[in-house]
Order: sequence, then C-alpha cells, then structure tokens
Amino acid sequence: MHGRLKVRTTAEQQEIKAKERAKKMVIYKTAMNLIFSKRKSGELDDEILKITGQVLTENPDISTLWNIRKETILKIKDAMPDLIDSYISKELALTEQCIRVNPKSYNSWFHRSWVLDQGSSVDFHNEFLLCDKCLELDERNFHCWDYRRIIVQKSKTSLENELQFSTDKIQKNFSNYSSWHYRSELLPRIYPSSSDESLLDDQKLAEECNLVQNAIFTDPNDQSAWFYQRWLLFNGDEKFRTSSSHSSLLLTLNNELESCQQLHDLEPDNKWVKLQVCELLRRINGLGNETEILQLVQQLIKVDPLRKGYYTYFGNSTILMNLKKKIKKEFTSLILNTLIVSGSKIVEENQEKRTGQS
Amino acid sequence: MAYDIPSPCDLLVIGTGLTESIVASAASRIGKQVVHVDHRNFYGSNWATFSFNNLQNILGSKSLNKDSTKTVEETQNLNINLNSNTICNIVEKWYLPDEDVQGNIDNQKNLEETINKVPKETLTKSEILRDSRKFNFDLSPKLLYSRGEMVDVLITSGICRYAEFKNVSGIYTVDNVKRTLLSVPCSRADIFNSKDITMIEKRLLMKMLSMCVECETKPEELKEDEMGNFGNFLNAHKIQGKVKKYLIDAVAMATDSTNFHDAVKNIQKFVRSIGRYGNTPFLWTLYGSGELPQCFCRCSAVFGGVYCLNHSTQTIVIGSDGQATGIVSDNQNLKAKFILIEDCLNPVATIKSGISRAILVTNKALTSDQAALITFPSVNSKDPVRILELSASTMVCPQGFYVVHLITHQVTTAVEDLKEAIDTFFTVFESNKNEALNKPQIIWSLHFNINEYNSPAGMLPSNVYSSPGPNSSIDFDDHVIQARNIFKSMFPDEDFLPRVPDPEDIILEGSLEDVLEESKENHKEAQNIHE
Repeated sequence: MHGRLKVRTTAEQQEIKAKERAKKMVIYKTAMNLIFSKRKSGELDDEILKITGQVLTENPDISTLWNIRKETILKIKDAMPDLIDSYISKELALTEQCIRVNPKSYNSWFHRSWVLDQGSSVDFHNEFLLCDKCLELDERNFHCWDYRRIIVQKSKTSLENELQFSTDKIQKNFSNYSSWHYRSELLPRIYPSSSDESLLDDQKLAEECNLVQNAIFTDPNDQSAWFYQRWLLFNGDEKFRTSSSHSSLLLTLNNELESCQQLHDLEPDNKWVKLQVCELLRRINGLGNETEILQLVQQLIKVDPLRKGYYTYFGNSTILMNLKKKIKKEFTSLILNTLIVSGSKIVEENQEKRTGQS
Repeated sequence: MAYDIPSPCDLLVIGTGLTESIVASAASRIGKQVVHVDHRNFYGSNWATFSFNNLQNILGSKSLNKDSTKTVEETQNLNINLNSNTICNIVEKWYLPDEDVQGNIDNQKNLEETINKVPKETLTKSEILRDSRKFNFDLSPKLLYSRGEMVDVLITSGICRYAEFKNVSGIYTVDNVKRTLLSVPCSRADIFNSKDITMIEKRLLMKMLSMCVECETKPEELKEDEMGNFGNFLNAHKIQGKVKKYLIDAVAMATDSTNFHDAVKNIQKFVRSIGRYGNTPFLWTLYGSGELPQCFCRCSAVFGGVYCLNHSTQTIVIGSDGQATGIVSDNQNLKAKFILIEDCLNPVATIKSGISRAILVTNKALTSDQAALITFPSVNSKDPVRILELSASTMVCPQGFYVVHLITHQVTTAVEDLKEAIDTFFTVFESNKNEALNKPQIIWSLHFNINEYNSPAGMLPSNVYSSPGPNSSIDFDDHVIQARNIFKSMFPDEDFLPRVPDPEDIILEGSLEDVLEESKENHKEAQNIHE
C-alpha cells in the first residue's frame, strides 16, 4: 500500500539485540584475558591503559581495572616524571567519560580524586564546571557533592563562594537535602557566633530562619526544609542553655513558634508543623506547655498512625522531663525551707541566749 | 494546466490555515490522497508570518483576501467566498523619517550600527526595511502549553522536528492602580523565591494550585463550588490581592466572571506544563507561529499530499444526492470524497465576532525576558489584553529591536480596543526625546481586526467540513482538538497522526529494483512538495 512503511517488529528488534549482546560478550572476555595476562607479565604500558580504558567506558564499575590503571600511572610517574601531566589529563578525560555513562559510579569519582593528587598542576576551574554540570543533571548526586567538597579543599576555594552555590541550588529547588546540609556545614565556619565558634551568628541565624520559613510555607509537606529548620533551631541545644545568648535564642524560638502556629491554623492536618510546634513548646517552657504538647501528640498519632510509637515516646519523655524538673524544684524548695526553718531556729536560739544573758 | 492534480482524491482542503493543515497531514499520514489548495501565494492563511517587505506588499495588494470577480450561475452549487474581508480596519503607522537625512552613509556601516544598538540619530525607515527579512510578523501569534494538545501532537507525530521552540521566560500581570508590571511566580521555586508576597500568601497560592490540580483526580471535593464563577470561588477561599491577580490573570487565563470549570481546567494545564521545558508553561515557535501550519503541510507532502498555492477555487459542486462531489478550481473539476474549507472562505459562514490585534516594533524591552507574556487585566468588563513581547533571540526581529503583539477580543476597532494598553506601556518614537523617559518607544505599528466566523450546522453537505480560523485565545489547543474531531468524523477508525517510525526501524526492500522504485517515488513526492 502506498505511504505505508515496513517497520521492524519487537521480536526482530529483540533478535538483533541478542546478537549484539553475544558479540559484546566475546569482545569483553578477550579484552579481560589480555589485560590479566599483560599484568601478570608486568607489561604496565600504554596498551594496557588503552584496553582497560575501552572496557571501563562500557562498564565503569570494575574496580580491578581502575586499580591496574593506578599501578600503571604510578609506574609511569616513577619512570618518566616529565610525561606524567599528559597521562593525568588522559585519566581525567576517561573518568569524565565514565561519569557520563554512570554519574553515580563510585569508582570513577574516586579515581578522579586520586588522579588529582598525582599531577603537578590541576585546572580546578574545569573540575568545578564538571560538578556544576553533574549537579544540574541530578541535584542530589551525593558522589558529586562529595567530590565538590574534595576539590574545594584542594583548591582552597572561598567558603562564601560555596555558600552562594548552595543558595543558588536551593533557589532552583529547595527539596535538596544535600544543599541544605552543605549550608549547615558552611555557615558556622563563615559566621561563627561570638560566644561559641561551633554555633551560628545571631543575625545570620535570623536570615536562615527566614529563608527556611519561606520554604516551609511554600510546601509544608517537604521534609528537607523541616530538617534544616530543626538543625538551625535545636543544634547545640545543651550549649545554648548555658550560654549567655540564651535570651536571644528564646526570642528566636518564640518567633518561630508564632509562625509555626500560623501555619498550623492554615494546615491543621500537617504532621510536620504539629511536631515542630511540640518541639518548640517543649524547649520554650516544657513544664508550662505540658497539656498543650500532650494534646498535639494525640493529634499526631491520629494523622500519622504509622509513627504512633515515636509520638508516644515523645509525649512520655516530655512528661518524664517535666517530672524531673518538678522534683528538682520541689527538692530545692524543700532544702531551702529546711535551711530557712533551721536558720530561723538558730536566730531564735541566739536571741533567746542574748535575752537570757542580758 | 501544466501540472497534474490527482482527481478524484480522498480529501480536498481549501486554505492553508492551521486547522486545515493539521487535518491534511493527518489524512496523508494514513495513506489518503490529499489535495491542498490556497488562492493566496503564501502558506498559513490568517495564521501566516510575514517579513517586513512581504507584509507591506500584502497590505498594499490586499491579497490577504483576493477579490474574485467570476460569478457562477449554477444555483445548486456553493460559491466559495474569496472576497470576505477577514482582516480589516488595517492601520499602519511609521514613527520614523522616510529617508536617510544624512545622505550617503556607507550601507555596511549603517547595518552594523543597527545590529549593535539603535543609534537614534540615524535610524530611518529605509534602514529598517533593509533588514526586512529579519522581521517575522505573525497575524495570529500563539503560544504552546508544554503539556498541551499541540505539543503532544507535534511529538507523537514527529512533526516537531520541522520547527524550533524557546521557552517563554516571564509571565506578568499589571497592577491596577500603579500600572506597573507584576511578575507572576509560576513554579514552586518561583513562589519560594518571591519577594512580592508574604509567607501566608505563598501558602494560600500553593494550596489553591494543588487543590485545582487534585480535583482532576478527585472531582467530588470541589462540588460545592461548581455553581459559581471563578471570582466568587477565590473570594470564598479568602484569596485576595496579588495572589488573586496572579491566579485570574495569568494562571487561569480568566476573568472574575469566568465559569469555575473552565478556569480550573486552565489552571490544571498551566501547572502540568510547568517544568517540562523550563520555568514557565509556555513555548514560543522560533521564526513565528506561522511556521506551524507549514510544518503540518510539510508532513502531509512527505506522505504524498499535493500542494497548490496561488490556485483559486470557485465553487463546491453538489451532486444529485445532496453530497458534494468536488470543486471547480481554476476552471478545472476536482473530484473529492471529503472537502474541508476554512471558515473565512465557507459560503455559508457568518461573522460571529472578531479579534483586535496590534503589532509594534519598539526600541527597548519592557521586561528582561527573551519572550514574555503580559496580561493587561480587564477594565469595565472588557476582555483582558494579552501582550507578547519578543526579543531578537526568538528570531522575529534584529538585535536591538522588540516585536510586541497585542491580542484581545474585538469590541470596536483594534485601534480603540488596544489604546489603553499601548498608552500604558509605550510612547511613540521621537529622535530627540529625553533618554530619561523610560517607556519603550514605538518605531512602527500595525493595527487590524480579524473576523471570527460561525458555521451553522446542517447548512453544508455532510461531506463538507468547515474549519475555524484564529481566535483570541493564547494557545493552539482548541484548534488541535477541532482538527482531531474533523479527522475522526471523516475517518472514524483511523489513528490521528500516529508516530512516524525512526529511520533505523524502517526496512528498505533488499533488491536494487525496489530501492530504485522507492527513490523514484520519493522524487515524485519531492516534486509534489515543490509544486
């Protein structure tokens, strides 16, 4: 019939594929045999680099081959130190190609960072470009985030630069644990608090609180933002309590509580906001807010029954904590009372003595 | 006739507008013999795109609607309506001096200057016309929803390979009081980053969007709101201020009084389309929307459709059984099983309403986007004006210039309907004007109206179909749906534009004769396209 095209059927396509696969298998086996026999006889030369390279571009996850390449590179570095840089750039090209094949290949990323240590000079600009590209394709590729941290260290890039990078990533899509986490590592190093170097500066803390609140209000079901907020507010809990900035922290917590309660009014069924309100109430005044906390715990069990045990534990631990506080308080007042009573007795006795003497 | 038009054919299409071209390509694709004629000498009918010179020639000769003086006596037949003034109230204005006052400046240098920056002292009409081919003016500019009907059909059919697209990068509405642009946050990231609305407003906006999307799968949830209009619905959900403006003007492409269901459908399409190709839901066709009818025609020609431009048609011949048997075209009888005619040529169609259009060439951008969609909201219950601002990167003008399209429903004439919107954002070009005036200046403007038609049911023979011309909506989807319906009613059991197989899956016949045979046929097809 006119205008009709003959198209391969799926069976034909499968047959073609099976043939191709068999052919690949033969090539793979010959290549592997050749590599192992060459290594046995100590022929760590350009040819072995070529063959391992070809196999690795097809399958970048054969650690043995990467290790043979490392051996070869080290040997060349010993024998011909002048030529090493050109070999390094070939290794970089190969790993880049392998990362393209499998962006989550542990071996490729590791080999790349190993290679960086072997050469005399590295163009870090290229490395950052590679990271940018990979993180654009998959913003949560932790291999690449790790590699980025390695090159930041090696190249001594400014941390402010990296903070900006993390901000850009979050602005593109805030459901990004990797980027929030990166911030939490960078911020205290760039803006340490005056009282404690491991904590965040007050003003920066307020800015970050605002940023994460915007994310939470935009999508209260996204847990990455809640986790970051938890880190911001409750990180170094114990230290804060004893530090001088206690009152400013209390202010921050109260502000956060207010906006969380606003959100709770808008989203009465959201478990994250309920839990956060509980956490905040407990920290601001666990004893005074006990009934409210326990009410919220009951609601949490209702909206999220799968985590019933966790919420019950939360409630019980609050009660226990409050009990401890009460006991401590009563114990203190008991001692105080005893002291006062015994103190006044001494005074009385003294007075009696004095009056007796006079 | 020097060339051979196949007769009888399966489908004869009159007019190369978008709907006609889609049906033609769909019919050719399933192996039907299609003959596609147009009395105009260009593709696209009222959807066409023109360069500066072509536009001026056409305005001059009025060949948009060529007069037909021939009268046909046979009363039983239907005379094709070639002299309908579908495009009317045309007002063209230049705000530049005609000639280069400074005399003989080196042409090359002038051109370079135009490309780099607009040098106000030397900018003249002749200079712009020298770059005529770099301008692409659409009669009916439209956008594609990234997950709309048009994109779907372009992808499944493989016709997308004939055209290129760019994402619209900004969507705006206008503050009612201050008359300034308000950027509409489209995606979740936009809403998160927005500095214009409070956190509570962000929550309400997100909640409304997800509510509208969810009611696609759970329609019962919004039952109680079904009766009212969209404005009341938003009020009932306490949505006010900027968020309400965003939702009505941009996301729902609606007005206060729009029916609730239509608005929610638009919101669903808007939200679905975000993030597929970029941050906004819309795509713009590079070199102008007039590319699309041509893409479909090309697909039709590849599958054996025969094309004849500049070919006038006189009558639809009706047989004794009341069915159309074919048409008389340039004194030739062409027989066809089905006939499709664009409604501005349809003898029984009547004018229903119209579109008010303006095209401006300006020297400065309103926005920093490569392509921006601005909604100028409705005043006094008039329809909103949609404004498309296109930069040189969308291939519609040379560097340093901007093409602005304005589209609204016709109330009086294009000049009056669009005056308020134009005066709000633009001023006319004056070479000595103070630079401090920030409004973009209009270098050239064209106003016109396009009629929309009604084709009453039952007035045409059952094998003659009438297809709609452009409307005032911002996207193509209505027309794709109508084209599919026409196709389905002609060929009920056939697939509408099925996928074209990949080249590596096509089995070429083994023997040399077969290959030669096929290449001969391909050659024939190529000739057909050429014609």
